Amino acid sequence: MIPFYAFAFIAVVASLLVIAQRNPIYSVLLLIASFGALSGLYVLLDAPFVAVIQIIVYAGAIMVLFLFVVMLLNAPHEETEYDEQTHPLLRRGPMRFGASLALALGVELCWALARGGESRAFAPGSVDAVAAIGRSLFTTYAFPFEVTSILILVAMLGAVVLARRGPFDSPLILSAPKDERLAQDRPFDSPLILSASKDERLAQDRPFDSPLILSASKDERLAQDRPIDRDGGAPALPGER
Amino acid sequence: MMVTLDHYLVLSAILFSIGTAGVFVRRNLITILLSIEIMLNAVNLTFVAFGRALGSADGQIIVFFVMTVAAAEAAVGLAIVIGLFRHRESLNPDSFTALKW
Repeated sequence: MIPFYAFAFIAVVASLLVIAQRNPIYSVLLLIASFGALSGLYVLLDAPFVAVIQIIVYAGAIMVLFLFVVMLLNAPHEETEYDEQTHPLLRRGPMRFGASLALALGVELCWALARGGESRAFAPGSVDAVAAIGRSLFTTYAFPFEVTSILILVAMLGAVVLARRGPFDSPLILSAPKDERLAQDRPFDSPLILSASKDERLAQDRPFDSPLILSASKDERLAQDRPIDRDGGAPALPGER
Repeated sequence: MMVTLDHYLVLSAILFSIGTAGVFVRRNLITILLSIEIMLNAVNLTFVAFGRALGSADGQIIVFFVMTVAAAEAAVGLAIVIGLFRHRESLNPDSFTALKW
């Protein structure tokens, strides 16, 4: 009884503070606290496996990924003056409308869940959690388990492709390093790309170009439909490779 | 007074609403992603509580899959955030109204 309310209090307060903080680093750290409290609740529910992977995978891996991105982007505050001056939960207009919608959702869910007849107590016996999970994970749920691995692979490839500056260029282009000072104001370039030649680096300024366009000759590229050219008409990207 | 299934369900509903409020209220892409994680965890708590009430391990297995999807979503979402930030130097979702620029 007491541990449940303690963990529930920590989880709710930490989650509220996550969405009330201006600085995303504090939000991430408070979310880790909330995950710790949820892990305690899983222990109370006789689910030690879930409690452990909640700490290891969620708090240990996913939240560290968030922390990396927050620190890498180095943009800890809100954008506009209005956002900077008002508290995140006390803004006017559509945000207050959204907050009241969320509040209505919470009240409605609580009302719908709590109005049932007698409260259902848990059965006394517990599942032999880890052994049962392992057994059915590799028998009944073997196919979803394998699909999960493919999902992780696809997500990893997608993250790499999306986060790179030149998503389809080979990072192993090691031409003669000229114009190194131009490379220095691009903080996200990988060191291997930094030593590429100038034209290749120009090609990497457009991360969403398709590889077909990048490797085509100049006339073919000009024939493509390119309504917006951000580099002011410098599409000198011959297929050098 | 015992802690029953309803306690966990109501707690999960409260956490889910907090996550929804975060998605609605905040104008920072990273905080919006964190709010989505709060919502996923509220659903996880519901799965584990129901699995405990029904005496079955299936709830915990679904939680395992949900965590996998959450990890994939966080990786791809953060990569998109990095890509957007490079183009606009901003994390405000109001800045990203065009699908192509």
